[in-house]
Amino acid sequence: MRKRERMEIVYDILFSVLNRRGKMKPTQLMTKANLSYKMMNEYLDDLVEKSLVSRKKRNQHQYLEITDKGRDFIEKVIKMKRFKETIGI
Amino acid sequence: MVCPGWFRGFDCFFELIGSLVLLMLGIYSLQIKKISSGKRPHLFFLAFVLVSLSYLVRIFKNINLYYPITKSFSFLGINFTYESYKIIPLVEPVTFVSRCLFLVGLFLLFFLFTKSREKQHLPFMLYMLIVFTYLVSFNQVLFYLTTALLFAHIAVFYCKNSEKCKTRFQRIMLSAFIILAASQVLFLLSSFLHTLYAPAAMVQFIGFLLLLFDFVMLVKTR
Repeated sequence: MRKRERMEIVYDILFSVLNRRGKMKPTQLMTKANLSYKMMNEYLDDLVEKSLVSRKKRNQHQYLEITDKGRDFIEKVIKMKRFKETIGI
Repeated sequence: MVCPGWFRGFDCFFELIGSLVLLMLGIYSLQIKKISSGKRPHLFFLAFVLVSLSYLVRIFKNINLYYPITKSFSFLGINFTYESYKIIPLVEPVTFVSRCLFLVGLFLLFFLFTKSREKQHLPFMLYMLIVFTYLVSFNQVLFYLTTALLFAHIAVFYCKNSEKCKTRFQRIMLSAFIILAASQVLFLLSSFLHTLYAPAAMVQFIGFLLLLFDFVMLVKTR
């Protein structure tokens, strides 16, 4: 199986959260984005620091919520993927 | 290449737009590096930049040929005025450089779209490429025949690509390369029939406009 680029993993994380109406539990994300617990936390720390996702607590459960900056990022990556497919890179 | 008087300047403008479009595509393809591993985005960038540069060199040559510098001198009280073409001794080398850049850029795209890239053939292919580019650059008919074939090959790749993923972006890209291949055929024919030069440049411009339209749609569409 091909190793994913860092940007692809970030995209997979954000896209998984966005697909769940912008909110998701970290445990669900682990399976959706196909990441280990350790790797997921490393990525999430980085994404929270860059304000692409935010950590929220509700009813003693932790949730991840995608920010506007995260949505913009996804849109940018979708455009790049479309360009890549179209031009045949 | 004989450009009709009324068309002089227009062809430079059309090619300037074309070179800018290619440069934009090249720069944007570098961004793909962020989501794609391997050297393909870099090679795409290089190919587009080389073709773009070749147009810029050609524009430089044509402008110098179309607009000569007027010089005057006085002899025995009589004023003499004449037009000087500074570039005349450089026309052949500049044409050669422009054609080489164009061919190498297109060859690069051709190799990127060709699936069999066995490494043991690479040195031989590079050697053939250098020899072929050198020979073809001196012959206008052979040059345009080669560029037409290369554009056609790229169009065939986009045709296969658009069968896999049927998006309008790919269809526009395919149309653009078909038109660019057609323009090279017209340029080839213009070597025998000079009146075809202007239509060829216009067809080529339409191809570039389609590429620009596709690029804008790709980047702007949500």
